[in-house]
Amino acid sequence: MIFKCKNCEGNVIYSPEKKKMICPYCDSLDSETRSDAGKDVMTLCPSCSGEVPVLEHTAATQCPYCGNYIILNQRVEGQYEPAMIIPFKIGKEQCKSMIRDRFKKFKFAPIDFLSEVRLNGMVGEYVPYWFYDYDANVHFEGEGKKTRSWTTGDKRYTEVSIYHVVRRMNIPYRAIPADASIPMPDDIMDLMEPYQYEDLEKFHPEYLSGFKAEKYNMPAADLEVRAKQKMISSAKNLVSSSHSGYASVHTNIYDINTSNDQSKYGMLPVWKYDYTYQNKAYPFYVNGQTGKIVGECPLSKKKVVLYAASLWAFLTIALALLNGIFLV
Amino acid sequence: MNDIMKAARKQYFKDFSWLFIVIGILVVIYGFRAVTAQKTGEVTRSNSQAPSQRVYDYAGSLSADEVEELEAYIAKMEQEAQIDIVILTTNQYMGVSDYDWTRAMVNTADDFYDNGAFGYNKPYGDGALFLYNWYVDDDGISHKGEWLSTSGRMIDVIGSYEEGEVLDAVDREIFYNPYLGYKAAVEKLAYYGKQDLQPFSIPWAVVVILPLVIAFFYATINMKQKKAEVTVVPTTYVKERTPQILESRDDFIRKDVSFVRIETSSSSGGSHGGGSYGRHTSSGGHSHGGGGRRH
Repeated sequence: MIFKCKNCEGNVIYSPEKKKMICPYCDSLDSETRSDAGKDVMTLCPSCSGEVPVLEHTAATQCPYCGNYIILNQRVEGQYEPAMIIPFKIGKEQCKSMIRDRFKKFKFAPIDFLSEVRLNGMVGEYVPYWFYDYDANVHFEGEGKKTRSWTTGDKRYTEVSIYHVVRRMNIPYRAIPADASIPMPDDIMDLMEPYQYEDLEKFHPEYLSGFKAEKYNMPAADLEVRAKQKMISSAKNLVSSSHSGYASVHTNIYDINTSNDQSKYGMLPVWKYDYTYQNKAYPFYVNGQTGKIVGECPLSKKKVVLYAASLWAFLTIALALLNGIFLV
Repeated sequence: MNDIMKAARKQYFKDFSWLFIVIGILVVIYGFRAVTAQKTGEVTRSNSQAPSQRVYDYAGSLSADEVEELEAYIAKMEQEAQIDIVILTTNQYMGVSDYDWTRAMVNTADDFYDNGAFGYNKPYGDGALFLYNWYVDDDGISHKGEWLSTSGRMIDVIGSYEEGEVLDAVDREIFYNPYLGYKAAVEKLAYYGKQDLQPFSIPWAVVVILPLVIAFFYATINMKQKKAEVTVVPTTYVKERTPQILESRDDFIRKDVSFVRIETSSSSGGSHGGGSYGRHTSSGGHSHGGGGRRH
């Protein structure tokens, strides 16, 4: 499918800044009409019939010839229709300025790292996620120690009190996310969290116009291990903080049972900036809702040497002059 | 790419602009100081009351040539350090006990300096006298030893550390060659006197090494970066951010009490006297400092 402008036939895209559909050609707002022409042939652009590179999981992409954004009906409908989506809240310009702000103080970045040309290569993408609900029932029993010491005369006393610690709690986990995209590194996606769920909306394909998207790469069952790991780690932390008054706690019983397990499919927004330096890729990811940036900037060795040597030389000159002033 | 290079160059000058400003200010001050220093010139000796002789070798430990050479050397060093330096040698009984010996040495040194009205800037002013007594009595009791009497600004310049340095330099030479021993005293006294004329100076090793250390830390700190902080907390995905507590019990089981005896240690110590003789007033009513060693 493709969204076209009623007024000028241009490709209408979703604007995160305006939170509306906008025609970049005639600036009309919410002027889109959906066109499903040619929807059965995924690899051909419905606008210019050019060949579009569609990979196994591509759900939305841009035609390399006419630049229109195409949404693949087969990849966003039926079993692939997301139950929810957080639309992009941060536009490309805002994202560029956030990256500039974050790295402007990083002296040793390569000189073109924050250049307009490079940053313009940034791509907005909806990443498929599975969201898991659990009602976790936690049962903990252990032995807690509290110590107290005091001095009387020439003796130092130590008192150790032993307690039987019992905790039972119900923890209702909602929408623990696990990205269902093989190309997106799991550790990076975990660092992008948390997304603010109050912005979750019912899926509309209009949100995909102007961005790339993938359908889920694997079923929910394949990712459940990751979600459960997150749940177990959180539950352990909550139990630990409930008995933090003890000097040490030895665990005797620790059970977690879950009920009402559910999973939902959804999409979350990510800006991706692929920067290559000396033949090595340095990908940057920006949470398209909160603006959290994940990535490491490459080091320009030339700049490190130049800045350190300059600082050394200038400080030496300054100190030598200072000495000279005193010695005159 | 040209624009990117220009922007990078601009950024470089912006990053170091504060240092360029500092260097600029220092250059101006340095130039100003250099010009005014030339106009001021050197401070000339302003004490005409004291005799021109500086070496009084009553013990006869030097040859006539050595006395002449030492006089010339002192004259040169005095001008540089702007202090008077007097060498006095004796060969006389100073008392058996250390107390008597010290009193005699102090008085001899202080009185000689005062009687001569030495001092570079004024009578009884800036300067130091080095006294060496070569006397050994018939019973073989040694009265040998050295004493340093300081006056004027040299009282503050020669602290116990500097005094030790001067006397160490003397002791390395004096038993083999008295001339070199006296010369060492002159050299060290002049060194400290001259150093005091510079109100402040940064050692050259610091001038080179300190910026190197700062540059190293600057580079290391600026190279560090983190991919991102973990911003998920344990309750992030918990409904209404609160777990429902079904049971929370802390049942007391038992209490164990143990003790250890605290070891107390006592130590005894003593103090040892030093050879320094702090700021004092001589019989002539003038302030002196200094110290010495009995050999």
